[in-house]
Amino acid sequence: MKLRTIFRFELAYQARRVSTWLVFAILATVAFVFVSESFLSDALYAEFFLNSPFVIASATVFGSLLWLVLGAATAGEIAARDVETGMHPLTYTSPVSEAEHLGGRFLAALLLNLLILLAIPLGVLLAVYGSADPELVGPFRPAAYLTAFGFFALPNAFVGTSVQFAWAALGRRALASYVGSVLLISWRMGASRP
Amino acid sequence: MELQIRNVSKSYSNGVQALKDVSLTIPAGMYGLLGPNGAGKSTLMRILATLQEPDSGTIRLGDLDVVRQKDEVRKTLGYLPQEFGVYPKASAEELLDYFAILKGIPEKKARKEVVEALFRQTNLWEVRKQKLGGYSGGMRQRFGVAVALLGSPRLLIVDEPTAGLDPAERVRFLNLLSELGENSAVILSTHIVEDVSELCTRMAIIDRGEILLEAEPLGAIEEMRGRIWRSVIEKSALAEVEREHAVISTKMLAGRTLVHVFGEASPGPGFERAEPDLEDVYFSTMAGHIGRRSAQLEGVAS
Amino acid sequence: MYYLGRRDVAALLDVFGHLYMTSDVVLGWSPIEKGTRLIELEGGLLQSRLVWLGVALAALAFTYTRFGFEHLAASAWWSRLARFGKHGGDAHAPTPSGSDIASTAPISVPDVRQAFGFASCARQTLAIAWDSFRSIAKSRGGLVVLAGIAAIAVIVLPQNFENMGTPLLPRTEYVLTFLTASVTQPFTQWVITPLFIVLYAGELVWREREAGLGEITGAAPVPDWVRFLGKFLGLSLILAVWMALLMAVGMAVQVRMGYYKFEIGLYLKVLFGLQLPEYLLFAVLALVVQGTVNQKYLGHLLALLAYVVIAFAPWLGIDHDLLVYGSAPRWTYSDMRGFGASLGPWTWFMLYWGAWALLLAVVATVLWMRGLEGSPRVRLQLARLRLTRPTAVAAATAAGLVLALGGFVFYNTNVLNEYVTPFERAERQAEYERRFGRYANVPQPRIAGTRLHMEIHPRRREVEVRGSHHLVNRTPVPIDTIHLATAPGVQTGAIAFDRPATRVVADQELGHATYALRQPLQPGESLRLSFAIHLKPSGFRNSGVGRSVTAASSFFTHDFLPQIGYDPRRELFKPSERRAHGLSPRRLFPSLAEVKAGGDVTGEAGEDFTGSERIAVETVIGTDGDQTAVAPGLLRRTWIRGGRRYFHYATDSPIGNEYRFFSARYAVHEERWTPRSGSGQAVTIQVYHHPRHAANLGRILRSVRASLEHNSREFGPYPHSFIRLVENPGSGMGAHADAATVDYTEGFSRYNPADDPTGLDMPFAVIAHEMAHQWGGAYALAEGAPLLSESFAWYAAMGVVEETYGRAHLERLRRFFRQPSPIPPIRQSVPLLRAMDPYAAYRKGPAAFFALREYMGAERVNVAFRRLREKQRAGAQAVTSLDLYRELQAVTPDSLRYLLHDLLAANTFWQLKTERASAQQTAAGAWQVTLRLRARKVTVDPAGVETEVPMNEWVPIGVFAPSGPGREYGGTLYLRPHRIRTGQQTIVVTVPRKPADAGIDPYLLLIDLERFDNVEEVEIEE
Repeated sequence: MKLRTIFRFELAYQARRVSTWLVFAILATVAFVFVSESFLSDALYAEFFLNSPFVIASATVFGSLLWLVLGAATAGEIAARDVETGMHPLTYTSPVSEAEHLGGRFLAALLLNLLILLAIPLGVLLAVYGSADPELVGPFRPAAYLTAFGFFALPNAFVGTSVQFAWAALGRRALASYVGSVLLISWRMGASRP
Repeated sequence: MELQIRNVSKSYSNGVQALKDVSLTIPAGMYGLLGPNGAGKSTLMRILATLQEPDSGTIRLGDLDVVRQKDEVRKTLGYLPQEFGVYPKASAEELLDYFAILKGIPEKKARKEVVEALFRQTNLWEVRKQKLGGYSGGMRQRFGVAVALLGSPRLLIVDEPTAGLDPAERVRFLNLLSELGENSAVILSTHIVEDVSELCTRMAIIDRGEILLEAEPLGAIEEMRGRIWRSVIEKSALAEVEREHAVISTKMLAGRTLVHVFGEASPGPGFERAEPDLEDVYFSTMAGHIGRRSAQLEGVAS
Repeated sequence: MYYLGRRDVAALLDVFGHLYMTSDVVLGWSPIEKGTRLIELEGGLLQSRLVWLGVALAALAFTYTRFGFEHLAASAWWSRLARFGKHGGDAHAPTPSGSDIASTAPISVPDVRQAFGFASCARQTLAIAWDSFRSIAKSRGGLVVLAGIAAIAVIVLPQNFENMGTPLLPRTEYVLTFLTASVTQPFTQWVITPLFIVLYAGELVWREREAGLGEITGAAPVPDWVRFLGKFLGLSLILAVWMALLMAVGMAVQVRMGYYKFEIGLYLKVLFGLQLPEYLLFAVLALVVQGTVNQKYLGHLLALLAYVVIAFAPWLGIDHDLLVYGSAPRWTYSDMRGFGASLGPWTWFMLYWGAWALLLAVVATVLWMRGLEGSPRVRLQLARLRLTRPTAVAAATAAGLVLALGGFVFYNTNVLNEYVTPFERAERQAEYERRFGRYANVPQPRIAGTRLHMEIHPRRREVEVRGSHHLVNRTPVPIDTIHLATAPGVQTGAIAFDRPATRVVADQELGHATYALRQPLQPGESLRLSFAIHLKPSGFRNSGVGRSVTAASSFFTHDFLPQIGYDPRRELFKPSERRAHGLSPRRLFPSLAEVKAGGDVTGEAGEDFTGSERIAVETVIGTDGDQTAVAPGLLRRTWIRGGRRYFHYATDSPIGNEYRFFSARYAVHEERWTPRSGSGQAVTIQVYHHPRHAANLGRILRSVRASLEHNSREFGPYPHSFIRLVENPGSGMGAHADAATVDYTEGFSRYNPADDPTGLDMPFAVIAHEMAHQWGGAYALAEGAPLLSESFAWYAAMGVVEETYGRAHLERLRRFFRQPSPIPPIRQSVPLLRAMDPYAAYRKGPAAFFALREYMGAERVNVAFRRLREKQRAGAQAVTSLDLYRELQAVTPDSLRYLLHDLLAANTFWQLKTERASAQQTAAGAWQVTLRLRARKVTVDPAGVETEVPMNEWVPIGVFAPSGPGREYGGTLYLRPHRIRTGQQTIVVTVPRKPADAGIDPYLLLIDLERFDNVEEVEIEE
């Protein structure tokens, strides 16, 4: 099936890029620092376990905000590479429907971004079991990680990738995706502040 | 001003050796650099245009060291790369004016004169207000020529300039170049033999990074006199002829095949003496009958 | 602040769950919930997820329908988004006829002399700058987007000009706080500026190469520095335009809000003088990174990474501004203070980073990708070639400047001043506790009086103090050692006693000194301790300069004076910090049980009942001739000497050991209040305010008079002969009460309540709250203390508001209290008697007192407070919330004991709901209203465990006529308590006129978090 071929090709192509792995590494580091420095507790009186659902969810939300900016080029590149490299006369004339062309690419971008976002729980786990005072670590609850990923990382990746993909595919510039991200961020920071 | 290239070598990180110990002397006037695709022409041109670094060797332009004194070289340089783009949303006039400033023509009036003259010469005057994004390939190429000619360069490097031009444009462009060749060094790289034969006072043939022949076109053709034989044969006979003779080129001619063979004496019946042209020089050189490759082959043989 | 005032809308628009986490969870969850509770996909979170899922799907659908496999000529890159229905690329321009090709007319290349001097370079720079500017400006991610953001800002920003439900004046200084943000502050909407800088810098760096002009421009005779400078100037121009747009935004916001006093000079200074340079520094960094990295996305990513590191440097433990590119102590501006001295350090840091930027720029021009050689080895070779003499000189100059300016800054931050990292500061606190904590409970004399001679030199930002404490041994044992807590960061010297004493310990760093008295201080005996203090800034710190003393205004607390004994307030209290510094956990506040065993006490209005800390303060304070200085007590005398003004203040009755000093060019308003009854003490009211901040003066005075009237009648006489209100410089909006003094931060004068009858006079209420603290008395600083201070103060203020503006106005105030912002409800908690959180203190506590008042009458509740106050004044023991509870029990009829218990001694929530309200006209013409109700009452413990409490109690039932505009209910047709039990029940009442709304507990007396389901519209049945 063509969609699957496109999907696999994109995934493999992006996996070879340094930037992809760099974003992964940055996110893991940030999650690690976020949890081990536990900066949030500064604003609070009391303590909580480092691996409480609250901390994990906070790290996930924060990490996905960062991903939105740092990882914007991934979806953008996938959406606009054909045009940017001048390949489009070849790909556009191949017997692939627009749905397959866009669908395969979008799914690849989404999956790749989700894989990149896995860096966050990885960073959290490293912080919790790597460097923290065991006294601060509560019992391991898979649900805490799953809910954080499912309720925040997953929808955020979907929303972010969709917007980035749309901007880049329609703007036919990879970094147009970044403009989409920045506008979303500014929306978050400006239009609806707490 | 004379350009001296001495023992220049260049290899890429993927292992391809683009230039092998190239030495050339290029005087003022038109100089043709002839070679097939991938011969190393563009590499040499880019090195001359200060955009790439040789691994070894020296290049001097008059008193200037091209490798080390890039800024000085650039002041006398006009360069038309093999491939280039434009800002699609800028008009030709805006962009040429912009480049005129970059080329060191700060004064507005002078710039205006130059820009106008160049537009007229490249026959773009009528369309100078158009956005470059709407230019055809040939127009874009002529625009590139105009940019390269800005500031009356004393060293003009044009890499495959005739590629996108239609025959009329090509003629006009080559005329322009030969005008310039009267007081500048113009280096023209091409894989089209006619470009060189029509214009260049000197030429070099390059293949796989090596200079195979450095000569004056007319002299080289003269030397070939009596060594080129032609025959028109059936296509089916080609294989046999190739096996028995030093075939340097084949060409389709009204459904049959025209063969040129190199030989000090007549290769036999059916062959007639051909009036040599630069193409024969080129193919003989490439085939190793003359030039450096022949010397190498002899060296191996002995 | 929430989207256009609608928190529910804000929740829906919450893109990433960030709002949910930072607002609902961080503020709303109890610590225990934060430790254990799982995030559930429900309510606002679920809704916002669904909304954005929809947005994402719409974006994809739009992409699918708009996307076409069409050949694109090199056309505008955003036009796809905008272009509806107009398919196809740009048509090729017609080729001019080539009829004249054959004509080989003589060709002349005009021989124009090229010039490569300075003028030519300047012209090249400008050409590149202009080209760069235009390319960014005209791109669809450029000015169009920036202008769009500016337009949205004009729409959205006015929502910020509101505090506690009250509109604020959009004064320029305040508007600017919403338009500026330092590059190191990522959590504002202006985070987009650095993010756009990264984008633009990348586009400029790659402009030629992406257009395919890299080789031609690379071979053009343009010096590398010209190229860099040109691009930088182009980017700068974009940023300057952006600043101009922001300025327009600010003024448009002001115009939208009907404010026309634009301070253009201030806009220009702040946006172009302060904000722009910060962005320019970052622009250099972004250009350098992306110009050096020969891969577009990688360069983009690395530039972003640089930004992340800059923005989150404090997390990474990088604290000194000398180490974080582009950072500087933040400048501040306020009407009273101007920029103060904050510009000096900012400028020095900026110059230092400017030198770095220059150095980076030189490095970038040397490493800039030009030509086609991408390998690091060759680029380094090239760099060596490019490092010509002038370049080397520039680099050396820049490096020299970095060293010189950095050295100067370092000399200021680390040599002239001590530089202490946050960790070191915490470690000092820990060390203080470890070393001197053992003296926490040793008997010490108490301060009975303080005399000060204070010289403020505003322009030199210096304060010199000579003073003395009068110490009395109120303990039953002789004291032979005196422990002094000296203020850190202040030179305390010339410590002397009026009897022989030797210094045993003098720890400057930790601020502790110990003196052994040769002859012990016997019980009842007293002693004079004299000291000299010099507050003198030397240079500036990493945190900038202190703001307490500036040329235009000064404001500082008594904290710089030496205090007696160990100071437990310096201890670390966060459990994580205590653990990190090897201290055992400590309870944040003493429990009620501990207080009964005898603890330290204090009171917000500084009136300490035990008398141990009641002090007399006498101050001679001198300041510049054009300023007025304020110190505690009555002004006895004022004179001028040597061009300086002196003021002699002395307290008329003892005050708590907590007071403040002010000096500024004040306008002073003074008037006298006498009780309406005619009997009782007259009180002088003084307001010291910034001359231009007089808008709320009338409200403040009205509130002060009404409070004096109401509170002295209800809670007992006002204990002083004067009340002073002082405006202090700063950006906040808060107010604070000390004995006979209420001070409010400048921002308070921004309140601009609407004058319509449906508005809420918040400044009036806030001043009434602060005034009530004057009757709050002193209490043990223990669990439940906020009930005695803040909850009481709001309770009293509610009485004042009602007395002045009527019940409807009070209801508006109560409605504001029920809003989840700025203080969201906390469900899982301890009972009010022990609670410490802001929801209990400012919302639930006042509501509980008010419910008691409504159930049993203001007289009874106020008597309880009056008695508690008398007990405080006579008292031998610190009062706690338990004492109040006892007084309230004494006045509560047996039938309502349960309510008192539910409200204060248990964490109770009522769940009252009207499921259906219907009415039918009776034959007699009256209306029979049938209410189907559901009621439930639960207590919630801190872990979130709910326990149902059986309900069988009196709850008001109300029926109302149709309401008018701006009113919650129309005329009351029926309002009477009914016996309500747990579960569903039906109540039938008859009213004379046609009803519109009906329900249970219509004024929300009982604590019910579901505040919208009590009253329903009445369905009329035929």
